Amino acid sequence: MIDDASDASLLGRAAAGDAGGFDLLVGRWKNRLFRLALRFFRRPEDAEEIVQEVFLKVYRMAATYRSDAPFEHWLLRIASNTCVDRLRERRRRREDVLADITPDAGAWLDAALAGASQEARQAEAARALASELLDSLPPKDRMVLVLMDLEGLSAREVAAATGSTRAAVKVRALRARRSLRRLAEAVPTAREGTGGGRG
Amino acid sequence: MRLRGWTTGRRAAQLLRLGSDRDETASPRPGFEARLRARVESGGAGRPVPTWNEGFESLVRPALALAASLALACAGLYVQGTTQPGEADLASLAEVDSVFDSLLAADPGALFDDPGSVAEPPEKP
Repeated sequence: MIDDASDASLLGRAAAGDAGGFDLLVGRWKNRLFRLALRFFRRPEDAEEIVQEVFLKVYRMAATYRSDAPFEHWLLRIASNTCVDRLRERRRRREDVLADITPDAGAWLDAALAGASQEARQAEAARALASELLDSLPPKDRMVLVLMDLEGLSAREVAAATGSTRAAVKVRALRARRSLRRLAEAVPTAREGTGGGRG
Repeated sequence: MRLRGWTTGRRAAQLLRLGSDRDETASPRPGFEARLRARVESGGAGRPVPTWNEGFESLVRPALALAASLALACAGLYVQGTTQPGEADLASLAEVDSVFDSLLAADPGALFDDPGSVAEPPEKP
């Protein structure tokens, strides 16, 4: 477990211009942030770019950190805002993503959603398509879903990490799960085939 | 019906897991710190992503300045468009003012005349 006070003191050193303190912080948190970014950005280069951006913000905003809040929450807030901003830029309409599903990819995704085992190539294509479909969700909704359902954070922790209230996070999670279900329903099943698409 | 809802919920959870899948042991490429250090030393690699305050500085403040300029320009155009030549001139206002005329003519009684009435011509002897 990483000691928050140590992180805070390292950040204080970074704010005072101590590069060594900043490097230690980067070393501690880079993997955690990278793995979080990979949830949203499949290409490692993109995820790494996000993490670099997060640390640049940390460096610039080090003086604004108030030690009454855990460093991890402060860092997560910067990271989640950065991810949400980037997701907004590349968000696609759900209809467009669905229209682009090829029959093969649709069948592979359907099989993956049903829990069937697949060849590596098919499984990878299904993952890529699933990621594209998730790109059509509102970025903040997706962030809340990932933090709560995959990262295992509580509503209170997500509220702290996103600068929101616990009640607002719960409402957003409810709405996000509803959107996710609609998205899952829209994925053509193998029996239905795809409505349009590239063929 | 309930089974269908359960199936949809399970597919939704699976969709989220599948689309957010990642290697649990993944880490940035070697040299990550060096690249970051280079960006820090080069001044943060470009313009900072706007925070709320910076957003205020970069968007709202110029917008307010632009709005103020437009309001002034519109006010100027309005005044210019509605005034007749010489109308805004104080001297010309005084010239057509009946009270001012009566004072100039040293005829205070004219101050109490009905401004709507037409003065009768003086009687001829």
